Amino acid sequence: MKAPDRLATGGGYVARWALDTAGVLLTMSVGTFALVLFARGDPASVLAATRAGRPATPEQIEAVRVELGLDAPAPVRYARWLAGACTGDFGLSLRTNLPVGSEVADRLGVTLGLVAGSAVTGVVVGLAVGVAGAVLPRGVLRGALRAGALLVTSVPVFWLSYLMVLVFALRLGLVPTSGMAGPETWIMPIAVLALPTAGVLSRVVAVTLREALDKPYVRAAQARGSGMPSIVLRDGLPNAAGPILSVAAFGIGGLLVSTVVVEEVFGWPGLGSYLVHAAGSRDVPALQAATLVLGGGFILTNRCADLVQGLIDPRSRRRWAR
Amino acid sequence: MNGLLHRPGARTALIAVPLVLFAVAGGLAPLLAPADPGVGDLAASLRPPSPQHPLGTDQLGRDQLSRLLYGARISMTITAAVLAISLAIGAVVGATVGYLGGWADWVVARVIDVVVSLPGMLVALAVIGARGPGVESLVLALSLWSWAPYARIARARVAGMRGSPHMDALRLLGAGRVRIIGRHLLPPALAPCLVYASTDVGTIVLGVATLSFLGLGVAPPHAEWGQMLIEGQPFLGSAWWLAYPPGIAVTAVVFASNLLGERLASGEEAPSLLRLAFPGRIRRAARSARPAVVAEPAAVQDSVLVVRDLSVAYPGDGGLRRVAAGISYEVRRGQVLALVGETGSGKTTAALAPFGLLDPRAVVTGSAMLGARELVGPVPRERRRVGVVFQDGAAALNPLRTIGAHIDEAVRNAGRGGRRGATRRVTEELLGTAGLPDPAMVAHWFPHQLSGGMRQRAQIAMALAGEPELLVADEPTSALDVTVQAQLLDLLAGLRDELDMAMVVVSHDLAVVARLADSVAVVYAGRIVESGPLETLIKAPDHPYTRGLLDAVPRPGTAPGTRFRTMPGRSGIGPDDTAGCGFAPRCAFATPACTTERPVLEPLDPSAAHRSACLRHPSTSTTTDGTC
Amino acid sequence: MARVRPLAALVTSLVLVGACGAPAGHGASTSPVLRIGLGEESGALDPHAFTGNFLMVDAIYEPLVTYAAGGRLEPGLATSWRVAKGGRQVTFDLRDNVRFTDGTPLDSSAVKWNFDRWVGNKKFSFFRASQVISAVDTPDADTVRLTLSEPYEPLLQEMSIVRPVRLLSPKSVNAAGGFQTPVGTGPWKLVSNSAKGATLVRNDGYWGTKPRLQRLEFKVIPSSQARADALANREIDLIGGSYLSAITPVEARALSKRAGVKLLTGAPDVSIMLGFQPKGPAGDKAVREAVRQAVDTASLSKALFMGYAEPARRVFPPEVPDSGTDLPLYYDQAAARRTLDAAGYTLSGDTRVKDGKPLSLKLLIPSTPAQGQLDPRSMAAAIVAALKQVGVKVEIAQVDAASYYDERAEDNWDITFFEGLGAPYDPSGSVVSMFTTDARGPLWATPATKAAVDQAVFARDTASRAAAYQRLYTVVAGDAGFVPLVYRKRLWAVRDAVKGFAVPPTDLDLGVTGVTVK
Repeated sequence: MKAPDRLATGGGYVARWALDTAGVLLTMSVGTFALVLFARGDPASVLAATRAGRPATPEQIEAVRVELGLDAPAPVRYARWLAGACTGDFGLSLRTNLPVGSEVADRLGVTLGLVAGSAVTGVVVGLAVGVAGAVLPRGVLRGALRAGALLVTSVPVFWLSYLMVLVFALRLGLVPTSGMAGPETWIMPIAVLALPTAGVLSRVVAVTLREALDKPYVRAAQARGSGMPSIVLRDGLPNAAGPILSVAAFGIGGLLVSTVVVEEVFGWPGLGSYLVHAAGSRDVPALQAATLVLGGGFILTNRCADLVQGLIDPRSRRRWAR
Repeated sequence: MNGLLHRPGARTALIAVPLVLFAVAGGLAPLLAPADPGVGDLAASLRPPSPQHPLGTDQLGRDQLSRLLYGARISMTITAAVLAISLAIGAVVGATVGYLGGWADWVVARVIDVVVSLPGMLVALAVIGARGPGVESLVLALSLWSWAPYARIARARVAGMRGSPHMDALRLLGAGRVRIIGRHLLPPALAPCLVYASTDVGTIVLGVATLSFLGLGVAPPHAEWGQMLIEGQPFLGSAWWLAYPPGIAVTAVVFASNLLGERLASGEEAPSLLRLAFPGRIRRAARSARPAVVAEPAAVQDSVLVVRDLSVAYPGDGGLRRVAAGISYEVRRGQVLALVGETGSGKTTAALAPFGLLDPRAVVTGSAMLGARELVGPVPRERRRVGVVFQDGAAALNPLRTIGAHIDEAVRNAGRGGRRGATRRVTEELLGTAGLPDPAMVAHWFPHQLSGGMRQRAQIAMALAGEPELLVADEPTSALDVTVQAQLLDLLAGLRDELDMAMVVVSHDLAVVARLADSVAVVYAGRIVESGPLETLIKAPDHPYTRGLLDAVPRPGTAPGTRFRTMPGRSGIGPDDTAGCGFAPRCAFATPACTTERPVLEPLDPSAAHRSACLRHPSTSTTTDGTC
Repeated sequence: MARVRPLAALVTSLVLVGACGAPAGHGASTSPVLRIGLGEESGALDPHAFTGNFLMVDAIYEPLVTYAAGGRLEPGLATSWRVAKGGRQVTFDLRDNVRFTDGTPLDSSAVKWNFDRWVGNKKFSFFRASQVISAVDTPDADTVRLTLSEPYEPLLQEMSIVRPVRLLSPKSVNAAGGFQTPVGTGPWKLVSNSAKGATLVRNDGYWGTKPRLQRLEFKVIPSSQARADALANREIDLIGGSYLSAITPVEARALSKRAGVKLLTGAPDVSIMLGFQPKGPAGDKAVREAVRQAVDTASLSKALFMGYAEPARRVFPPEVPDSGTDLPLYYDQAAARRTLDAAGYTLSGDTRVKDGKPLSLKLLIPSTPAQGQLDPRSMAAAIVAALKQVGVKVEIAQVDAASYYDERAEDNWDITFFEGLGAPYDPSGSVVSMFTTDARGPLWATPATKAAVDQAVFARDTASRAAAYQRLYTVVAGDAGFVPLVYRKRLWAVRDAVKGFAVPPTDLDLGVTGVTVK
């Protein structure tokens, strides 16, 4: 009789996870930094021009280049940039000549609020629709739910936003057209963001839950007299949790990116619109900071899902305990 | 037409229609478009649809239909370019590192992990932000992240094949790495990649449109769909022909791609849980089609379970297909009935059907009385008076819950629970009864931490929680080694005697049966072909199939090395697949009549305990006795 | 917040079934607040930098001289001025009893402090006054005297622009002279400024006519369509102007049809033009002439600008001083084809070819509109279509807005769009950068245009100045050096509840002093 294997539990697992996650984040930071090497045009020239208010002279450009440390070799610049990034110092925006770090910090709150609201809504709706899709009889209702879920994931988010603004704001006057102020201004952006998330999630819930409910232990649970709600809650959902969690995390992480579009449509001063403006004006420091924060958030969300999955399902820990 | 729609292939093809239209529109845009998409008559600005302009004109007087068609061309070109690049890079990189293994594999796997865990739109935004907009930037940006899933898929596929004997053989034959990868590994790796690509089409089309919305996509005057949507936005309320068609086009293509990908990835739709959730409704539907049952003589008084003329059918291509027919058996208190047959003979179906424990699509007819209650039909079944032990303990136990949690639930379901502590005490007692040492500790373990034998004991403990009158055990020992098998059989035998329980044991192994059973029913092709007391059946088997089964059992006393005989032919046919005796094609005694006339179970002795369904009855006719 | 929010209105209307669901305000009572759409977050409101929104700078800070409709100069913080020493000296008399909102008196030392922040500073070299002023003296507390290195007639007009000449309180900087808080003498004071918007409140100590409103709330809505929607949905009261919250012609058309909203148009202050890069195929005058003949500017202003534009016939619209006389409308595609045929460009398939080279032009545009400008992409598409009809192939090259002007200074494009700066900068503010050879990316620069610009800018009297400008325009038109496309009307829109609003003299002004909101 063997004891439960210790290696797959507790500290070792978490440490392994943390190490792996740090590796991924670090790799991403290299890619993010490399953007500056990719960039067409010279950041020094752009910043010098921003400061001068017009095209800068070669001397001005050179001065900025030295000031920004752009004359150092790439690895040194990466190290400096990463060290700065860890303390929230991402340099100066080429567009506004203001510290990128504080600009990002100001806007991060807006984006996080939006993501949190849509994540909760999306997950709740997605789970509900997904469970319904798994247990409902084949028929009109199930088909409609499934088609609806697929549809909202297929419509371009910005177009969906236009249509919703047209109907709910301009025609019906129920909600404001744009902006970020009182609670009513949150309804539309959250709805637009939550719909695709719920759509994807509900599909996965429906499929994995149905699969889980086909497992022998579900028949065994029936054999010992358990009812359907109990089976869905105890045997179905927990066993479907792996894929559901990863898809939910992926969807929530994806929200971080969808905010790019939704903030643009609804005029929210969040990190997404900051990223778009940085990309539109090749403001590389701002681009790097926004990419690092949004990408890092995305990766962390997904990794946390892995972590939680490992805690729920002892078997999957082995993956991290190689 | 209706029938056509129900064929899975036809449906998949139907789903792909928007994608085909997309490809045709893209490929043939120059031929199909009624006008030049870039040139318009400014005087004909914002005209509604007309015969000349089927989708109207835009602000610059350009023909909207032509722009839509050329838009398909642009989206398709970019999608094709991105797919070609990422498929090529992904498949080659994935297959190569998957084959080579080692540090290269480790590094590439890490890179794939990172790229896959990045949101694609963010990568695209960052790359375009750094490089500036344009078609090349767009293709580069989209390819940069979309290659990774292909690499991951190809890598996994190839890694699975690397160690196969086929590869060893190739290496022995002196095939080079390039040849092995290129000729033997890439093609199979490409297949799953192509399935994934069907979803990727939608992702890319959507991505291109979204980037255009952000001003980072395709430059005008090219009529790109996302660009057209933005141009159409101010006209949402006034000129629908500008605002809606491009949006509908994007949505249709992405929708079709998602749906197709989902279908291809999952194969056929998973069986519906509908019957699991709403058993009553289905049974009612099934009952209407129930044939008249010839009532058999009333069962003996102390019968726990009496099954009469039970049939099970599954919906298939041409309507219902029966997998078991005319099954009748009974079990008495304190007795063990064994259902014996080869894999696929229908013995498990015969054992589980009365309790609704089959696949939810199964349609069960006939009668099964547990005591005085009819189990087949719309009445809620009283399951807790029956305990079930499944074949594969690992599958029958929820891997996420401890053994204790399983049994606690069963105890509570049986109404025996109380407070947490009280329930757990019953649980531990049951674990002890099932012969598990240190029940308190075992209760805290997860199924994967138990050995196979312990899992079966845990299942037995669970089955006993409801203090059942009847225990159904489906191949309870098939996956266990001989010693454990014996212990488990002893446990079951002990329980029967101690608790005076009735048992139905399903097994393909007569040796197992011989150790435990009081009576035996032999199942072949979904029908019972012979039944009777254990002794009789072993000593004087009548049906050639029973004989075959007995011959297949290694008996004590045979000389070591003697090959026990196996029956020729295949098993797994259904009860209605032949007009005559299902066993006739494999039977050494078969006469032409055997293939046309179906034998019925006939009593072979005055008490009618021993019955056999054979036209020849080899045990009574003392003619040729085969070639034992 | 004295307004009923739409959602609350819904709830109310659900409770009181049949009650009016319109999110109306407070009947006839006036609101002390004007809500203004803002296209882009305003940066730091430092009048001596380039970050603040023009109109907010204008609302907070004042110049010595103000620009009135039609280019008239009127007293601002200077009540009068005298030009002496052959145009080399200008003396301003300051208005008495004016204080900055932090209490600092506006006197000559404060004015000198402000001028010292930009006079001679390289950062402002585009702005000629900063180079021409050689000394700033303060003979007494009420008098400021500027000495110029050479006579510079446009100086007074340049004193009216928004930056950097507006006056900041000397106390609103830190010890190192860095800008800290926006404090001016204007009718409004800043309360808050963020990425979501800004709030200004009335300066109750204002020396001039005090605004009737108490507060201006600027709401950042980046998309012009969303701003128009917000106005239509009664979430904001005022949009418009190139530098506040531009309205596109399509949105203008939609707003003009909408009840409860009033669309206001102002006389155009810029003309949109097409310029050529002479180092490529556009170096051939025949090509330039053909391009000029190929574009139907009348239809363009009707279709693309929905009638909110007129075909342009000058470098600057007629309302701009010294804009010269009208040029003919050149549109004649048959003539364009003849011009190209005569010059040896023969049609081969869709595109003309000369010496084996197809006639293809690269049209450079920013991928997103620069602030206050129309989306260049639809204009570009119209040019492509027009030139295709005469056999000239045009490729659109998009660059991001940040590097557009850099790219325009390089040679790898053939045609691109130009616009003037608008009032009050034109014509003097634009001609140097458009028509002199040493300018970066000029519209059309030859020795002849440079000479004409010099004569115009340094002209000593109005007649010779007008003559020099006319000479300039004639030379450029004679070279077929540009294509006048359209005069873009200035567009503003207000809710009907807003009373007393008129389109301001320039799009840099925020004329809300007499405005009330019902």
